Amino acid sequence: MSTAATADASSSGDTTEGSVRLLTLQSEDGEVFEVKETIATQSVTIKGMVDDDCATSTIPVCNVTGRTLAMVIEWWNKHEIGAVSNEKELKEWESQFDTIDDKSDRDDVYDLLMAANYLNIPTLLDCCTSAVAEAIKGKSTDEMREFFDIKSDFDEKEEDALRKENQWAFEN
Amino acid sequence: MGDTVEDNEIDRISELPPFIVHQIMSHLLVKEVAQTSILSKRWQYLQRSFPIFDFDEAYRYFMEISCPIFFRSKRGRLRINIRRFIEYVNASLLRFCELKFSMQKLRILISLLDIKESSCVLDKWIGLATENGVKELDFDVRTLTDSAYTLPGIIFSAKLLTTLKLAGCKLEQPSDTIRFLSLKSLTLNYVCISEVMLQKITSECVLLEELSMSNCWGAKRVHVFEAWMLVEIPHMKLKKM
Repeated sequence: MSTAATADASSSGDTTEGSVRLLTLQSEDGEVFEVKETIATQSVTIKGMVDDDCATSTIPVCNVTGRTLAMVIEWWNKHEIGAVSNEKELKEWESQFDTIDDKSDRDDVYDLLMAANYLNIPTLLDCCTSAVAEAIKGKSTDEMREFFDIKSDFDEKEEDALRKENQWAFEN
Repeated sequence: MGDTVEDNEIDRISELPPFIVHQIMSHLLVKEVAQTSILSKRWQYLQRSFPIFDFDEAYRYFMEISCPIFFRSKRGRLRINIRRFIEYVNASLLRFCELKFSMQKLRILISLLDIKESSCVLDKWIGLATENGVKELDFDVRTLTDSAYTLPGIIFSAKLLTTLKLAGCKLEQPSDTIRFLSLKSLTLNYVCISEVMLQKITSECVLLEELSMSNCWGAKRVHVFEAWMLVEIPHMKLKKM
């Protein structure tokens, strides 16, 4: 009899831990997370659901994998009021999100961007867009194409014309 | 076109929703944003539809190009640089307005050698910004002469404008009513404005929270009344005429 083992996972999302309500979030690939309502409502999308009383059962988080959702929850935990004693410590912790060293970091940031967009988390969106911007800075056009896997669909003539049009931006 | 590059990598950045790419661009310098336009056709579109225009910073880059060595040619070089800058601003704004998106911000810093010659272009830019629902407008016009650029009446129909910053301009009383229905912050520096006009603005802009004036002329006294939300006048300094 294995009912006892599964009972926990299949329980209703409307559980409470002490006086704090817990919400159940389910990632696209089926991973289930229990998160304090006070933390999850950093997502404007989830806050809207809570306010409309639509967060009583499991909330499906489409297009977000369990791996990414775990990172999002980590973000929420750190950004909960009182979780970190000072701004400096928070910034230091955030630096793991806002630097892109290689293509694997880059892909993580894309995933987080999509999650931040879907869940509407302004702080995370801002951090990730800033990370991508930092990765763009200082790169030549070809380096940018290489790093972001952007394929140019301009022919040589078109590119030359555009470069000329924006000549000021390419000097120095 | 004909080349068959084998590439399993997916270009995810180009597939991000435009507003996210625009948010990325908002962390970049004007120059860096302009550089992205040649990455691909998609990026050309993303750059052209970016609703934040900061031609203040771009102006600096234009002036840095080919720094004049001989004084004799300085004015000539300046004239060419200004003309190139005007053409660039003009083309960028027209292309953006064709897309029919709303404009978040337009910031322009420009030096003019001849106001008469250039004022119709500036009028056009303000008209385009107004028509496209600009929210923040920052206009800094510098001239080598004593005369100041007179802002066109169309500026007063910018209903969505929340922040207006003017420098080196003349704000004349419009024949029509002022329709700054959203204006919250007004900053005037080296602006010619009459008492009547100031009064009109403070009484008709119901949402105005902040009025900042420095080095302005044309008004001896400022009567601020009927402006219930007005909370701060930080640098009130009026130059007498």
